[in-house]
Amino acid sequence: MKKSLYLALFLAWICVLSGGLLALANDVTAPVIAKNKAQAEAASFDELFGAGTEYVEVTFDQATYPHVEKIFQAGADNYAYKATIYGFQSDITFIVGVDASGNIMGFATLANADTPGFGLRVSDQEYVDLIMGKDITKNVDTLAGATVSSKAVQSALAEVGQHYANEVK
Amino acid sequence: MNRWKNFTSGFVRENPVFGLYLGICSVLAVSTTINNALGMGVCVIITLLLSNVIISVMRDIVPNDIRIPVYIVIIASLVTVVEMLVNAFSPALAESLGTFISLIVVNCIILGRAEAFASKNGVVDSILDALGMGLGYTVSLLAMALIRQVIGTGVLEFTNPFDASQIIFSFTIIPSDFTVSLFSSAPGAFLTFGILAGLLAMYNGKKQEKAEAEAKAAKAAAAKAAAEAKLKEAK
Repeated sequence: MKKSLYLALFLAWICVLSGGLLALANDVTAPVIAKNKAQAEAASFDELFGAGTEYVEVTFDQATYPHVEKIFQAGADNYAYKATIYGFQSDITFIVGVDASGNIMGFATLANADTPGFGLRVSDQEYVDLIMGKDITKNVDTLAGATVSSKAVQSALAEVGQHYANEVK
Repeated sequence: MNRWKNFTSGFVRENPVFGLYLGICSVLAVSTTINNALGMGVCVIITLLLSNVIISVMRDIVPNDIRIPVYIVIIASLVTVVEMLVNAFSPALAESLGTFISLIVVNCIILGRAEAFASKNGVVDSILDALGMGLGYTVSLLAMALIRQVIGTGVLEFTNPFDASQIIFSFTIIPSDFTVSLFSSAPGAFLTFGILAGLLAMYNGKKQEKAEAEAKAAKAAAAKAAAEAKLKEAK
Protein backbone atom coordinates (compact mmCIF):
# COMPACT_ATOMS: atom_id res chain seq x y z
CA MET A 1 0.00 0.00 0.00
CA LYS A 2 2.70 2.40 1.07
CA LYS A 3 4.76 1.42 -1.95
CA SER A 4 2.02 1.96 -4.51
CA LEU A 5 1.32 5.35 -2.97
CA TYR A 6 4.99 6.23 -3.36
CA LEU A 7 4.98 5.05 -6.97
CA ALA A 8 1.86 7.04 -7.79
CA LEU A 9 3.29 10.16 -6.17
CA PHE A 10 6.58 9.72 -8.00
CA LEU A 11 4.84 9.44 -11.36
CA ALA A 12 2.60 12.41 -10.50
CA TRP A 13 5.67 14.47 -9.62
CA ILE A 14 7.29 13.60 -12.97
CA CYS A 15 4.08 14.65 -14.73
CA VAL A 16 4.04 17.97 -12.85
CA LEU A 17 7.63 18.68 -13.90
CA SER A 18 6.85 17.74 -17.52
CA GLY A 19 3.75 19.91 -17.47
CA GLY A 20 5.83 22.84 -16.27
CA LEU A 21 8.32 22.27 -19.07
CA LEU A 22 5.51 22.13 -21.64
CA ALA A 23 3.91 25.30 -20.31
CA LEU A 24 7.24 27.08 -20.56
CA ALA A 25 7.81 25.89 -24.14
CA ASN A 26 4.27 26.86 -25.05
CA ASP A 27 4.74 30.36 -23.64
CA VAL A 28 7.82 30.83 -25.79
CA THR A 29 6.49 29.33 -29.03
CA ALA A 30 2.74 30.11 -29.05
CA PRO A 31 3.02 33.76 -30.14
CA VAL A 32 5.50 32.86 -32.88
CA ILE A 33 3.28 30.04 -34.15
CA ALA A 34 0.19 32.29 -34.16
CA LYS A 35 2.10 34.94 -36.11
CA ASN A 36 3.32 32.36 -38.65
CA LYS A 37 -0.20 31.07 -39.11
CA ALA A 38 -1.73 34.50 -39.64
CA GLN A 39 1.03 35.36 -42.08
CA ALA A 40 0.52 32.16 -44.08
CA GLU A 41 -3.23 32.74 -44.16
CA ALA A 42 -2.96 36.36 -45.21
CA ALA A 43 -0.29 35.51 -47.81
CA SER A 44 -3.01 34.26 -50.15
CA PHE A 45 -4.74 37.65 -49.90
CA ASP A 46 -1.59 39.52 -50.88
CA GLU A 47 -2.28 38.36 -54.42
CA LEU A 48 -5.41 40.55 -54.41
CA PHE A 49 -4.34 43.55 -52.36
CA GLY A 50 -0.57 43.65 -52.86
CA ALA A 51 2.15 42.79 -50.39
CA GLY A 52 2.35 44.70 -47.13
CA THR A 53 -1.40 45.15 -46.67
CA GLU A 54 -2.54 44.95 -43.07
CA TYR A 55 -5.33 42.50 -42.33
CA VAL A 56 -7.71 42.65 -39.41
CA GLU A 57 -9.95 39.68 -38.91
CA VAL A 58 -13.68 40.47 -38.82
CA THR A 59 -15.94 38.31 -36.67
CA PHE A 60 -19.21 37.21 -38.21
CA ASP A 61 -22.09 34.85 -37.60
CA GLN A 62 -21.08 31.54 -39.15
CA ALA A 63 -24.66 30.25 -39.01
CA THR A 64 -25.99 33.05 -41.23
CA TYR A 65 -23.15 32.76 -43.73
CA PRO A 66 -22.34 29.02 -43.70
CA HIS A 67 -19.99 29.02 -46.70
CA VAL A 68 -17.90 31.98 -45.61
CA GLU A 69 -14.81 30.88 -43.68
CA LYS A 70 -12.87 34.02 -42.93
CA ILE A 71 -13.39 37.73 -43.36
CA PHE A 72 -10.59 40.27 -43.12
CA GLN A 73 -10.64 43.99 -43.40
CA ALA A 74 -7.79 44.71 -45.79
CA GLY A 75 -6.25 48.13 -45.40
CA ALA A 76 -8.64 51.05 -44.82
CA ASP A 77 -11.88 50.08 -46.53
CA ASN A 78 -11.41 46.94 -48.64
CA TYR A 79 -12.71 43.60 -47.53
CA ALA A 80 -11.31 40.11 -48.14
CA TYR A 81 -13.50 37.01 -47.95
CA LYS A 82 -12.47 33.38 -47.95
CA ALA A 83 -15.24 30.92 -48.72
CA THR A 84 -15.62 27.22 -49.52
CA ILE A 85 -18.49 25.62 -51.38
CA TYR A 86 -19.06 22.19 -52.90
CA GLY A 87 -18.80 22.40 -56.69
CA PHE A 88 -19.38 19.51 -59.06
CA GLN A 89 -17.29 16.85 -57.33
CA SER A 90 -15.08 18.67 -54.86
CA ASP A 91 -14.91 21.61 -52.50
CA ILE A 92 -13.95 24.85 -54.17
CA THR A 93 -12.13 27.26 -51.87
CA PHE A 94 -11.72 30.80 -53.12
CA ILE A 95 -10.82 34.26 -51.95
CA VAL A 96 -12.51 37.42 -53.17
CA GLY A 97 -11.63 41.03 -52.58
CA VAL A 98 -14.33 43.72 -52.37
CA ASP A 99 -13.42 47.39 -52.70
CA ALA A 100 -14.93 50.36 -50.90
CA SER A 101 -17.81 50.76 -53.38
CA GLY A 102 -18.79 47.10 -53.19
CA ASN A 103 -17.24 45.92 -56.46
CA ILE A 104 -15.22 42.76 -56.89
CA MET A 105 -11.55 43.77 -57.10
CA GLY A 106 -9.98 40.34 -57.20
CA PHE A 107 -10.80 36.66 -57.22
CA ALA A 108 -8.64 33.56 -56.90
CA THR A 109 -9.36 29.92 -56.17
CA LEU A 110 -7.12 28.22 -53.61
CA ALA A 111 -8.45 24.69 -54.05
CA ASN A 112 -10.55 23.25 -56.85
CA ALA A 113 -10.55 19.63 -57.99
CA ASP A 114 -13.57 19.74 -60.30
CA THR A 115 -13.52 18.34 -63.82
CA PRO A 116 -10.64 19.63 -65.96
CA GLY A 117 -11.94 21.56 -68.96
CA PHE A 118 -15.28 22.20 -67.24
CA GLY A 119 -15.58 23.00 -63.53
CA LEU A 120 -11.86 23.70 -63.29
CA ARG A 121 -12.46 26.71 -65.58
CA VAL A 122 -13.75 28.60 -62.54
CA SER A 123 -10.07 28.87 -61.60
CA ASP A 124 -9.10 30.39 -64.99
CA GLN A 125 -8.45 34.02 -65.86
CA GLU A 126 -11.57 33.85 -68.07
CA TYR A 127 -13.79 33.64 -65.02
CA VAL A 128 -11.87 36.29 -63.11
CA ASP A 129 -12.29 38.67 -66.06
CA LEU A 130 -16.00 37.83 -66.18
CA ILE A 131 -16.75 38.86 -62.61
CA MET A 132 -14.08 41.53 -62.09
CA GLY A 133 -15.53 44.93 -61.19
CA LYS A 134 -19.06 43.56 -60.79
CA ASP A 135 -21.20 44.61 -57.85
CA ILE A 136 -20.88 41.93 -55.17
CA THR A 137 -24.40 42.52 -53.88
CA LYS A 138 -25.89 41.49 -57.24
CA ASN A 139 -25.73 38.03 -58.78
CA VAL A 140 -22.61 37.56 -60.91
CA ASP A 141 -22.68 35.68 -64.24
CA THR A 142 -22.07 31.97 -64.52
CA LEU A 143 -19.74 30.24 -66.97
CA ALA A 144 -21.43 28.46 -69.85
CA GLY A 145 -20.21 24.86 -69.90
CA ALA A 146 -19.18 24.92 -66.28
CA THR A 147 -22.65 25.45 -64.91
CA VAL A 148 -22.51 23.39 -61.72
CA SER A 149 -19.18 24.71 -60.51
CA SER A 150 -19.81 28.33 -61.41
CA LYS A 151 -23.36 28.23 -60.01
CA ALA A 152 -21.88 27.01 -56.72
CA VAL A 153 -19.34 29.81 -56.73
CA GLN A 154 -22.09 32.23 -57.68
CA SER A 155 -24.18 31.25 -54.68
CA ALA A 156 -21.20 31.54 -52.34
CA LEU A 157 -20.47 34.97 -53.83
CA ALA A 158 -24.09 35.90 -53.23
CA GLU A 159 -23.59 35.00 -49.59
CA VAL A 160 -20.53 37.23 -49.50
CA GLY A 161 -22.64 39.98 -51.10
CA GLN A 162 -25.28 39.51 -48.46
CA HIS A 163 -22.75 39.90 -45.70
CA TYR A 164 -21.32 42.96 -47.42
CA ALA A 165 -24.73 44.56 -47.86
CA ASN A 166 -25.92 43.78 -44.34
CA GLU A 167 -22.83 44.27 -42.20
CA VAL A 168 -20.44 46.50 -44.08
CA LYS A 169 -22.43 48.97 -46.14
CA MET B 1 38.57 3.07 -26.81
CA ASN B 2 35.49 1.54 -25.29
CA ARG B 3 33.69 4.89 -25.42
CA TRP B 4 34.70 5.42 -29.01
CA LYS B 5 33.38 1.97 -29.87
CA ASN B 6 30.14 2.76 -28.05
CA PHE B 7 29.82 5.99 -30.06
CA THR B 8 30.53 4.40 -33.45
CA SER B 9 28.47 1.26 -32.97
CA GLY B 10 25.35 3.17 -34.08
CA PHE B 11 26.87 3.82 -37.49
CA VAL B 12 27.49 0.35 -38.84
CA ARG B 13 27.53 -2.55 -36.41
CA GLU B 14 24.33 -1.61 -34.59
CA ASN B 15 22.93 0.86 -37.09
CA PRO B 16 19.47 1.54 -35.62
CA VAL B 17 17.71 1.60 -38.98
CA PHE B 18 19.37 -0.92 -41.25
CA GLY B 19 20.89 -3.09 -38.51
CA LEU B 20 18.32 -3.15 -35.73
CA TYR B 21 15.30 -2.20 -37.90
CA LEU B 22 14.18 0.44 -35.41
CA GLY B 23 12.21 3.56 -36.32
CA ILE B 24 11.55 2.37 -39.86
CA CYS B 25 8.05 3.86 -40.07
CA SER B 26 9.36 7.40 -40.08
CA VAL B 27 12.33 6.46 -42.25
CA LEU B 28 10.09 5.11 -44.99
CA ALA B 29 7.74 8.07 -44.78
CA VAL B 30 10.01 11.10 -44.63
CA SER B 31 12.96 9.97 -46.75
CA THR B 32 11.57 11.62 -49.88
CA THR B 33 13.87 14.65 -49.83
CA ILE B 34 17.15 15.38 -48.08
CA ASN B 35 15.49 18.42 -46.51
CA ASN B 36 12.98 16.21 -44.72
CA ALA B 37 15.64 13.65 -43.85
CA LEU B 38 17.97 16.18 -42.27
CA GLY B 39 15.14 17.92 -40.42
CA MET B 40 13.80 14.67 -39.03
CA GLY B 41 17.32 13.53 -38.13
CA VAL B 42 18.02 16.70 -36.17
CA CYS B 43 14.69 16.41 -34.32
CA VAL B 44 15.47 12.82 -33.38
CA ILE B 45 19.02 13.65 -32.28
CA ILE B 46 17.79 16.47 -30.02
CA THR B 47 15.05 14.32 -28.49
CA LEU B 48 17.33 11.32 -28.06
CA LEU B 49 20.10 13.40 -26.52
CA LEU B 50 17.80 15.10 -24.00
CA SER B 51 15.93 11.92 -23.09
CA ASN B 52 19.15 9.95 -22.66
CA VAL B 53 20.67 12.64 -20.43
CA ILE B 54 17.54 13.05 -18.26
CA ILE B 55 16.97 9.32 -17.89
CA SER B 56 20.61 8.67 -17.14
CA VAL B 57 20.63 11.37 -14.45
CA MET B 58 17.47 9.93 -12.92
CA ARG B 59 18.43 6.28 -13.23
CA ASP B 60 19.10 5.82 -9.52
CA ILE B 61 15.93 7.45 -8.23
CA VAL B 62 13.34 6.06 -10.67
CA PRO B 63 11.59 3.08 -9.05
CA ASN B 64 12.03 0.02 -11.23
CA ASP B 65 8.29 -0.82 -11.25
CA ILE B 66 7.24 2.38 -13.01
CA ARG B 67 10.31 3.12 -15.07
CA ILE B 68 8.56 2.69 -18.44
CA PRO B 69 5.68 5.12 -17.68
CA VAL B 70 8.22 7.60 -16.36
CA TYR B 71 10.29 7.30 -19.54
CA ILE B 72 7.20 7.71 -21.68
CA VAL B 73 6.13 10.88 -19.87
CA ILE B 74 9.62 12.33 -20.23
CA ILE B 75 9.96 11.39 -23.90
CA ALA B 76 6.46 12.58 -24.82
CA SER B 77 7.10 15.94 -23.16
CA LEU B 78 10.42 16.36 -24.93
CA VAL B 79 8.92 15.49 -28.31
CA THR B 80 6.09 17.97 -27.75
CA VAL B 81 8.61 20.68 -26.93
CA VAL B 82 10.61 19.84 -30.07
CA GLU B 83 7.42 19.91 -32.11
CA MET B 84 6.47 23.34 -30.76
CA LEU B 85 9.92 24.67 -31.56
CA VAL B 86 9.82 23.31 -35.12
CA ASN B 87 6.34 24.76 -35.63
CA ALA B 88 7.50 28.14 -34.41
CA PHE B 89 10.87 28.46 -36.07
CA SER B 90 10.70 26.28 -39.16
CA PRO B 91 7.09 26.24 -40.41
CA ALA B 92 8.16 24.85 -43.78
CA LEU B 93 9.74 21.82 -42.14
CA ALA B 94 6.74 21.41 -39.83
CA GLU B 95 4.46 21.36 -42.85
CA SER B 96 6.45 18.79 -44.82
CA LEU B 97 7.12 16.47 -41.88
CA GLY B 98 3.59 16.88 -40.57
CA THR B 99 2.53 14.35 -37.99
CA PHE B 100 5.83 12.49 -38.14
CA ILE B 101 7.35 14.97 -35.71
CA SER B 102 4.87 14.03 -33.01
CA LEU B 103 5.31 10.39 -33.96
CA ILE B 104 8.92 10.57 -32.72
CA VAL B 105 7.27 9.66 -29.41
CA VAL B 106 6.71 6.14 -30.65
CA ASN B 107 10.04 5.93 -32.45
CA CYS B 108 11.52 2.79 -30.92
CA ILE B 109 15.03 4.21 -31.02
CA ILE B 110 14.26 6.72 -28.27
CA LEU B 111 12.55 4.40 -25.79
CA GLY B 112 14.89 1.58 -26.83
CA ARG B 113 18.03 3.53 -25.98
CA ALA B 114 16.45 4.82 -22.76
CA GLU B 115 15.67 1.31 -21.59
CA ALA B 116 18.71 -0.50 -23.00
CA PHE B 117 21.40 2.07 -22.40
CA ALA B 118 20.67 5.31 -20.54
CA SER B 119 18.97 3.62 -17.59
CA LYS B 120 22.10 1.56 -16.94
CA ASN B 121 24.96 3.90 -17.84
CA GLY B 122 26.45 7.24 -16.79
CA VAL B 123 25.65 10.61 -18.33
CA VAL B 124 28.75 10.91 -20.53
CA ASP B 125 28.28 7.44 -21.99
CA SER B 126 24.59 8.15 -22.55
CA ILE B 127 25.40 11.36 -24.41
CA LEU B 128 27.81 9.46 -26.66
CA ASP B 129 25.26 6.72 -27.19
CA ALA B 130 22.57 9.28 -28.11
CA LEU B 131 24.87 11.09 -30.54
CA GLY B 132 26.06 7.84 -32.12
CA MET B 133 22.58 6.38 -32.50
CA GLY B 134 21.07 9.71 -33.57
CA LEU B 135 23.75 10.28 -36.18
CA GLY B 136 23.38 6.67 -37.35
CA TYR B 137 19.66 7.28 -37.81
CA THR B 138 20.25 10.60 -39.60
CA VAL B 139 22.92 9.17 -41.91
CA SER B 140 20.65 6.23 -42.79
CA LEU B 141 17.77 8.59 -43.46
CA LEU B 142 19.98 10.82 -45.61
CA ALA B 143 21.25 7.83 -47.58
CA MET B 144 17.68 6.75 -48.33
CA ALA B 145 16.59 10.31 -49.16
CA LEU B 146 19.58 10.87 -51.44
CA ILE B 147 18.78 7.77 -53.49
CA ARG B 148 15.04 8.39 -53.56
CA GLN B 149 15.22 12.09 -54.35
CA VAL B 150 17.77 11.69 -57.15
CA ILE B 151 16.10 8.71 -58.82
CA GLY B 152 12.57 9.91 -58.14
CA THR B 153 12.83 13.56 -59.13
CA GLY B 154 16.21 13.80 -60.84
CA VAL B 155 16.99 16.95 -58.88
CA LEU B 156 19.10 17.13 -55.76
CA GLU B 157 17.88 20.21 -53.92
CA PHE B 158 18.38 21.60 -50.45
CA THR B 159 16.53 24.63 -49.14
CA ASN B 160 17.13 26.66 -46.02
CA PRO B 161 14.95 25.01 -43.36
CA PHE B 162 14.29 28.38 -41.71
CA ASP B 163 13.29 30.12 -44.94
CA ALA B 164 11.73 27.86 -47.54
CA SER B 165 12.19 30.36 -50.36
CA GLN B 166 15.98 30.29 -50.02
CA ILE B 167 17.50 27.45 -52.04
CA ILE B 168 20.97 26.52 -50.84
CA PHE B 169 21.84 24.21 -53.72
CA SER B 170 20.01 22.53 -56.55
CA PHE B 171 21.59 20.19 -59.10
CA THR B 172 19.80 18.46 -61.91
CA ILE B 173 21.38 15.02 -62.04
CA ILE B 174 18.96 13.01 -64.14
CA PRO B 175 16.99 14.62 -67.00
CA SER B 176 13.31 14.64 -66.15
CA ASP B 177 12.52 12.13 -68.94
CA PHE B 178 14.54 9.43 -67.20
CA THR B 179 13.39 9.72 -63.61
CA VAL B 180 11.55 6.85 -61.91
CA SER B 181 8.75 8.44 -59.94
CA LEU B 182 8.14 5.11 -58.19
CA PHE B 183 11.05 6.04 -55.93
CA SER B 184 9.18 9.08 -54.63
CA SER B 185 6.27 6.93 -53.47
CA ALA B 186 5.92 4.20 -50.86
CA PRO B 187 7.10 1.19 -52.93
CA GLY B 188 10.31 3.05 -53.74
CA ALA B 189 10.87 3.54 -50.03
CA PHE B 190 10.56 -0.19 -49.38
CA LEU B 191 12.84 -1.05 -52.31
CA THR B 192 15.54 1.39 -51.25
CA PHE B 193 15.28 0.24 -47.66
CA GLY B 194 15.58 -3.41 -48.61
CA ILE B 195 18.62 -2.86 -50.77
CA LEU B 196 20.45 -0.76 -48.20
CA ALA B 197 19.59 -3.13 -45.34
CA GLY B 198 20.80 -6.03 -47.48
CA LEU B 199 24.07 -4.30 -48.26
CA LEU B 200 24.69 -3.61 -44.59
CA ALA B 201 23.88 -7.21 -43.67
CA MET B 202 26.31 -8.39 -46.36
CA TYR B 203 29.04 -6.11 -45.02
CA ASN B 204 28.46 -7.19 -41.42
CA GLY B 205 28.34 -10.84 -42.47
CA LYS B 206 31.63 -10.60 -44.36
CA LYS B 207 33.22 -8.89 -41.40
CA GLN B 208 32.01 -11.60 -39.08
CA GLU B 209 33.22 -14.32 -41.44
CA LYS B 210 36.60 -12.67 -41.54
CA ALA B 211 36.72 -12.45 -37.75
CA GLU B 212 35.70 -16.08 -37.48
CA ALA B 213 38.32 -17.16 -39.98
CA GLU B 214 40.93 -15.18 -38.08
CA ALA B 215 39.89 -16.78 -34.82
CA LYS B 216 40.08 -20.21 -36.43
CA ALA B 217 43.52 -19.51 -37.83
CA ALA B 218 44.72 -18.30 -34.45
CA LYS B 219 43.32 -21.40 -32.82
CA ALA B 220 45.00 -23.65 -35.39
CA ALA B 221 48.29 -21.83 -34.92
CA ALA B 222 48.02 -22.24 -31.17
CA ALA B 223 47.26 -25.95 -31.53
CA LYS B 224 50.20 -26.35 -33.87
CA ALA B 225 52.52 -24.59 -31.47
CA ALA B 226 51.28 -26.77 -28.64
CA ALA B 227 51.82 -29.90 -30.69
CA GLU B 228 55.33 -28.81 -31.61
CA ALA B 229 56.12 -28.10 -27.99
CA LYS B 230 54.84 -31.53 -27.08
CA LEU B 231 56.99 -33.07 -29.81
CA LYS B 232 60.01 -31.23 -28.52
CA GLU B 233 59.32 -32.41 -25.02
CA ALA B 234 59.03 -36.00 -26.22
CA LYS B 235 62.36 -35.70 -27.96
